[in-house]
Amino acid sequence: MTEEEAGKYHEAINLFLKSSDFEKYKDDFFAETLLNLFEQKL
Amino acid sequence: MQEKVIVCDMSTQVFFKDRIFDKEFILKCPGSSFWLLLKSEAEKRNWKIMTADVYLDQAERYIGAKALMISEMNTPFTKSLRSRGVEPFILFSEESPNVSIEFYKNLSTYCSAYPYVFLFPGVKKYLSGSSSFQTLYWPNTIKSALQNQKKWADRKLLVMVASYKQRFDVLLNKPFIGLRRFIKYILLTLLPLRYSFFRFKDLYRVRLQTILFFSQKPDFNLYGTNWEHIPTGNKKLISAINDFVNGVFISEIINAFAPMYLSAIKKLGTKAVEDKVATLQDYRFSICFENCVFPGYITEKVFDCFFAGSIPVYYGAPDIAQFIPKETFIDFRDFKSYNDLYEFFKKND
Repeated sequence: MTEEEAGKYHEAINLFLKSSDFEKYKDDFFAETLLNLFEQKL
Repeated sequence: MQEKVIVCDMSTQVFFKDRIFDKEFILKCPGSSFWLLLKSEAEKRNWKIMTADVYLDQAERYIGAKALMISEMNTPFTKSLRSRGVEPFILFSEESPNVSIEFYKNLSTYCSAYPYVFLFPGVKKYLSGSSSFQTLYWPNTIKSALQNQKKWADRKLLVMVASYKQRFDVLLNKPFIGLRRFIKYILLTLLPLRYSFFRFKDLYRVRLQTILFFSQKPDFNLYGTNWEHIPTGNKKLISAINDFVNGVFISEIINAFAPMYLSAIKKLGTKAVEDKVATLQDYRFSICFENCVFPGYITEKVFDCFFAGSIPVYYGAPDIAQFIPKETFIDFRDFKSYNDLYEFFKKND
């Protein structure tokens, strides 16, 4: 694979890491989801 | 004012005694840093938060409190907590069905007491009852993509960072004592025949096959622990039966008895890594296999590659493209042979 071809993967990775789709794979997203549920019940 | 308590009902002993809130320790455990955030936010709201063992040690103190539990699968504490009035509220699992047999075998029973369950999507169709199913999205500790990443030209070709495990490791690591235990092992190993849930492809063996192929190439490195514990004797037999049950070719059964894997490991030499992402960033490509093929089962492995700028060669969740753009990884399933994959790496290099 050439550097140019690899660059397409890297570009797609960087786009994904900056996208809203990636937000839900962050620890703070999960913590906040749990917190919201606890908040409703406690 | 009524006291409010979150009880963290952990199944793994290393997390007992409030260790999930020990920053230095928990940051070394993939998918666990959310506990630090949860504790910090809970304390802002004047809620108490502690692990189940700590709670039970001082349960008298919390008589009359409003206490909710968040359980990590099935644990030794759940029953005691319930008998003391702690309400089951959230259940979650970050573990694969290749490891947590007891939990997945009795999935509906364990989940039925909880209003909310966070699990991998492939589990959903096996659930019955009134629990609200929530997709477990792997909660990564956020590392920005490393700054000043290595240039393509300065990176080595290929790496695998993984520890050696085998299917139903929990069973196989115990010594064989007596015929009864041996029979029990055989029966448990044949679980996929009895429970359709366990009819998924095990990728521990595929990792070995991959190592075997790439150990013959000059530009592959292996990191991780336990590789010296490749099965011998009866463990090989169990491993072979596992492969048979999974529908792997008969040659794999023969391979299970061959010393070739151990030779390949010895040839490569392996060592543990202090910082996985830092190691990955030395490589253009990374073999990134989950523990098994299971819908929606996506763990930290692919994200670690992303953070390091190493292009993952992915095998695991068959539906990964529904969650992660297919342009971000190389799909191992697209290649007919290891040779084809190797040529893909080396083409126009």
